[in-house]
Amino acid sequence: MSRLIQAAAVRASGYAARMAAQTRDARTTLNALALAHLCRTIAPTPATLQAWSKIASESPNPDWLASDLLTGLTAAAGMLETGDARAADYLRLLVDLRQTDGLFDDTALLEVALTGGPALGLPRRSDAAIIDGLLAGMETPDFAAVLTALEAASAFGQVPLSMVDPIPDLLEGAAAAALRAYDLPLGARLLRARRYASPRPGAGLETGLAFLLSSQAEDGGFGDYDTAIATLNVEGQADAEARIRLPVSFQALWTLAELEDPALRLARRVFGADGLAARIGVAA
Amino acid sequence: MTLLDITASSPDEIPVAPEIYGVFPDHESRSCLLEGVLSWLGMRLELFDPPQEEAVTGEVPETIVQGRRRKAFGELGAALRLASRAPSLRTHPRIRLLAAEWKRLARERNIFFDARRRIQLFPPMAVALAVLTAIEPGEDQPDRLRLQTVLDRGFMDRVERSAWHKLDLKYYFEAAGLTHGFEGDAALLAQCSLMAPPALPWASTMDLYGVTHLIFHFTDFGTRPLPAVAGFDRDTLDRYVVLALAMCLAERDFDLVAELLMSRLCLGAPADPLSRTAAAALCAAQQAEGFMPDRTWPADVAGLTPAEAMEKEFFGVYHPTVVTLFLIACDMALEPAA
Repeated sequence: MSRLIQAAAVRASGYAARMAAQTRDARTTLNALALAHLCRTIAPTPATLQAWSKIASESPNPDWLASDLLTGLTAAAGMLETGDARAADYLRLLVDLRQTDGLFDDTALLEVALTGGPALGLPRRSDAAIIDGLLAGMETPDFAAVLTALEAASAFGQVPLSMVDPIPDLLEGAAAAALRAYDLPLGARLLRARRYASPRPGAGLETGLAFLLSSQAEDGGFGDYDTAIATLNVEGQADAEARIRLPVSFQALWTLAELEDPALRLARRVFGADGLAARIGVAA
Repeated sequence: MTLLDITASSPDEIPVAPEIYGVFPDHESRSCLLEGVLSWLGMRLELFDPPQEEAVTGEVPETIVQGRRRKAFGELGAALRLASRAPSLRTHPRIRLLAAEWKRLARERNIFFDARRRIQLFPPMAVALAVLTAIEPGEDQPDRLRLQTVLDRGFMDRVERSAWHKLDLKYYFEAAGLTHGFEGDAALLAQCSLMAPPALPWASTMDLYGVTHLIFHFTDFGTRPLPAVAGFDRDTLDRYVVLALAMCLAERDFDLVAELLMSRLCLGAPADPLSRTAAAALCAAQQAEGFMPDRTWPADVAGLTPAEAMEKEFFGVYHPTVVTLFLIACDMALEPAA
């Protein structure tokens, strides 16, 4: 991992710790733990380890269901390292519920996180269907389904894909379009999917990397949301900054790490080769 | 192989060279797209009709601006000019009809009226002259002298403008046979955004139009290479155009998709899966009436009369539809002769 990305991770860990200390609520704790664990995975330095410890020891108990699945799983993965029973309980609940139809939007992510391997039995889409989905419009269910399918087919980058042209180009274009609309989480997700879809370099990957790097602010968090935060503050929504920028920072940093090092697959590093279920001694 | 062997071969055994149709997946899809566009343009021709210029009174001539109807008329003309380069388009019955109507309107509407004072209309007049020069080859263009007089006054080609704006004017001035004082293409390329295009996530739609129009005019729609300039990285530009095309495809901005596809043609890029996919997407986006939708289509026409609604829709969609004609014309004009 380059010093540039490691430095970004160190700054982001400081941001996570400050947000957790500043807001002191269960949702923020969860998001801050996830970001801090990501930071120490990317850059295991005294600064990131200290940030993690501070959040884990001084923040309120996390609300495990307060954020998206990726955030919850990452936070739980970090807490397991200290033998945290609440994290283990959360994961046991996921193991119990994972076969329930329609309960989870992202069953592929759940499988990768719990078992370390790709989800079995998911229908594989043809190249033509993937292209059609990517051209359907970024706000459509077809587009979202294609993105999820690519993540699942690659097990979040652990299974090499060599998707035919122009799928990698279309993913790069969609990523650029998402960033242009300032939808950083979607842009980040599309850039990762592009990385999973093909090992070849691309101008869109370089553009995305540069954009995300430049979106880290002086405080270590990612994304410029002053106007949105001010609007939410006026509307009386509590902890607007933490609710917006912690998840965005998580997505941005995850993506930077995977773009910058083509061999790095954070899913494997964070969840382990055998998955989180094995770490809590449960057969998944 | 003897003559007997050749004549004895069944047609299935004779190898057929693959037919290359530029960016389009096949001849049929390009033809279908073309016929739809031409049909719609023919049906909406009255909406391209420019003002009757000598009837525009009550305004100081120097203050009269182009407006959307003159703009639409000029853009249609520019597309017909490009179409005239492709032999099969030049003789296409609908193109011939459109060109004839365009010429008739240009004359009847007196579009060069008061050319020496209506200086803000000078650029579209130059475009119109270039169009007439192309679609009436060999015919005398008496308005050229009046336009040259304006240029000879020493201001039109001297005021502060971007390299893009200068090139747009220079291109059509030269196509119209006008002499001017703008720098050469190499000097303009060295000053323009193609040297270091703006990062796409931050680029505006106008920035992208700048890129495409610079490419069109530097290459004369693909008939000559970009000028050689120190420090200019051609590969970077190629990759930029590819990414921009993919981005606009994702945004379903078919106007820019067509312009960026044309840019790839002008840069001599081989027809690859992305270009073919983009061209196929254009074909799929074409509406039943033959027009190409813009990003705001369908327009909100609540409370409008049918005529008002048609006009509102027209000014939303005419540009991507005309640009599609540009693309087809460019594709056909650059196609190797059979």
